[in-house]
Amino acid sequence: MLSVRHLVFDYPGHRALDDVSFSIEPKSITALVGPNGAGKSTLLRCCAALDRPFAGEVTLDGLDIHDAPRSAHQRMGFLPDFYGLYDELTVRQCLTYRAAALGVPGGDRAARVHLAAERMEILDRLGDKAGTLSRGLRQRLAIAQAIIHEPALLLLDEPAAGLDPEARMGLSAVLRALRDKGMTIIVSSHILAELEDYSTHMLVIREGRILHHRALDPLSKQRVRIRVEVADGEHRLVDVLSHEGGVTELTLMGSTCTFEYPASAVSRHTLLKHLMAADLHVIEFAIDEQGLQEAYLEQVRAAEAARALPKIGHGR
Amino acid sequence: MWFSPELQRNLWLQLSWGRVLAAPILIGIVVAALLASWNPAPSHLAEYARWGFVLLLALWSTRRVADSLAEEVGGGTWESQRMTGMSAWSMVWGKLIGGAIFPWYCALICLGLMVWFSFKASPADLRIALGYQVATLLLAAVLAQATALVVALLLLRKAQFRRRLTVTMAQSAGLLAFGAAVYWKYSAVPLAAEIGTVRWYQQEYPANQFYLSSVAIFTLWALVGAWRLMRAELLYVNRPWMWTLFTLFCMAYAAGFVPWDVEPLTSRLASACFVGLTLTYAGFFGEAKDPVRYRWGLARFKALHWWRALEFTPWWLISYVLAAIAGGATIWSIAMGGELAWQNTWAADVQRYASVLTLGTFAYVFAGLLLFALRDMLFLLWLNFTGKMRGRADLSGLVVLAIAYGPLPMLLVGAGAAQFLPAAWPVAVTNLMALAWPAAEVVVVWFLLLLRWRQATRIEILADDREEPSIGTH
Repeated sequence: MLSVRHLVFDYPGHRALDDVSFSIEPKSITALVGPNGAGKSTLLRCCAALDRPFAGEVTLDGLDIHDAPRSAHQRMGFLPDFYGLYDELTVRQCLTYRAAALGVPGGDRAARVHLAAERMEILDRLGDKAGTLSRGLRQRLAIAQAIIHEPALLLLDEPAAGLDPEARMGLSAVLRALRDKGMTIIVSSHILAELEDYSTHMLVIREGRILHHRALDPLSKQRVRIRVEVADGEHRLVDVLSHEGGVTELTLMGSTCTFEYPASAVSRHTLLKHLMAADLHVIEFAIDEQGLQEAYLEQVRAAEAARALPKIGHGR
Repeated sequence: MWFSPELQRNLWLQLSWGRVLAAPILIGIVVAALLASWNPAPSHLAEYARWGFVLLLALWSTRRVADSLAEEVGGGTWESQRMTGMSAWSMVWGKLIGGAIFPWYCALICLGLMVWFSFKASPADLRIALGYQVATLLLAAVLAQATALVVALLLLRKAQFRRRLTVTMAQSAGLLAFGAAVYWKYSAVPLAAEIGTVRWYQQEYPANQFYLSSVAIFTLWALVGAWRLMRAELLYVNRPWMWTLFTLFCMAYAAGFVPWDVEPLTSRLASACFVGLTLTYAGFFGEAKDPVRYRWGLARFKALHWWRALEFTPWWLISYVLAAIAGGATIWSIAMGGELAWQNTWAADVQRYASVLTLGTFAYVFAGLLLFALRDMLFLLWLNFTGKMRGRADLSGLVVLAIAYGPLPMLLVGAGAAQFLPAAWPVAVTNLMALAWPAAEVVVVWFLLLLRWRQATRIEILADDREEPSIGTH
């Protein structure tokens, strides 16, 4: 879908992106995370063909977006962190203008406006002026504008900034729905909690470099981490699990065991059946999902440790 | 919708039914009031209507066009516009016409009144002149708006986009362009132009047709400029062909006006050199001087990616090279015995004030001019590559150059140090030895620029294993 290779971008005296390479899978929601100033917005702007990099290339389904920015824009949507709306236009006019500007044929525009408004749940606001909308609704209108042409790729820079909790939840639902419709989405934020709800992948950027890129959805992995808790006084859990094929990295904490196990539903069902057959008093059996924040911090710590090693070497 | 979506948006915003109806009613009330009170002659009413047109388009519409861009940037919608599938041309005319659609609507009513009252006032044989007048006004209005948009886009690219300042500067530039376009028509050669001729490349042309054609051609250039700048904003690759053509056109256009028949080739080459140097400065101040961009261009140049390197070639360099070619040709022409037509006119006046200037030394003067211009460009780049100065480097540079070419030579002469005049004033360069002054200045400024360049393009190294990236095909 989106492929970024050896991207380099400089500001005077400062390299914002340093040899950045990654690929985005279709129909995924990638959380682009990193501290302020890490290069998230610059990376998104380069991917949106709004800034030209010093070196490297960005391709969207094989199309070099910097060689053909207009064609690329017709296949992607972008919501910058500081976006604006035409406050004096109605929601319908905003969407119609955007559809026309993105080359949607005249006969299809009304249907596209209706569809985008329906997806963003602002159908009842089509006649309202954009300037009269609440912040949450403005955000929905901005996203509706970005998806009016049914782009294959949607780039969102800090989309939840300034939204109240209810609006954030609404945004999560909207993004999941867009992904279900087949859209590939990259969302940047430095607030990890808001990304956790809907992200399938995590792309960690720090000081202009990609630290890590991995899938987050446990079901997309071959193995998952499972947590089993038994009632107090039950000591046989570790014995039973030790003899169970496929269990690795078993750890015990109190009356709770966590371990790696094949991810398939059949395997997990069989394991649960064996635990029941052993007459263990299981009170919890769950996939132990690693939180986005935990995963991010783990990567940052690993990167810091890797960086510290050469310094020790130099010191000798 | 067959027209630009940008125009459609502006129509929604600016042409409400209330405004569409109110404009002719208000103008009608003013005309009726004039007729009822003073009952001026139709020729006077035509004059008032013309002033209405001029004020609406030269003052208001230029402001509206610049503001339509400034509003987008300030309101955060410009990035969304850049993400659209609209072509650069569609954006340009959507903003030119759309951004000022209401002033245009009002101005066209005034123009209609002007034509109506002119018909009522003038004898039939003046109707041809009226046609030229209408054409000149319309072209001047488009020229003014395109110039305002060009200036607004230039300031946007220079990353010094302050809304009020941008709009004011763009409006002023538009106003100047409008004034220049109608000046010939109404002031310089008022009635003589109607029947007179213009001598260009030793051919006589009817003045009216010549001026109108000139305004039309420069309007076209302004539109081309706006289109190229919009292309750059939309991240299209822009190679500097248009700037090169524009410089060549201006040089050739100006060279045609040498009014004397004394050695026209030398004089024409000299005119072309002056115009080339003027555009060198104009190109420099018009362009963004981001050291990162210069570094990208140099990297591509070093990697022998000529085609890509062209994209980063600064305008001033192109104009300077063309001016240098014209200047070199002028020197060659003088050396071959050619004589400058001006030697009999203003050069004699200059000589009275600067005793060191002697006739027949113009070859040195042209070499000096080229060296001083190169020194200025390097000095201005030095200022622009200074981190803390970057935001106000151009303005500071202008002040320094104004002092260097104004009070400084006067001080030298006043202090009895006229022998040092060649170090400060290009027209005081009278022999090969005197040329050493500007040449030495070029070397010194070049060295300072190199030091500043290394500092400005040093990238903050955050990890030990970073290397200069391969620029690949971009």
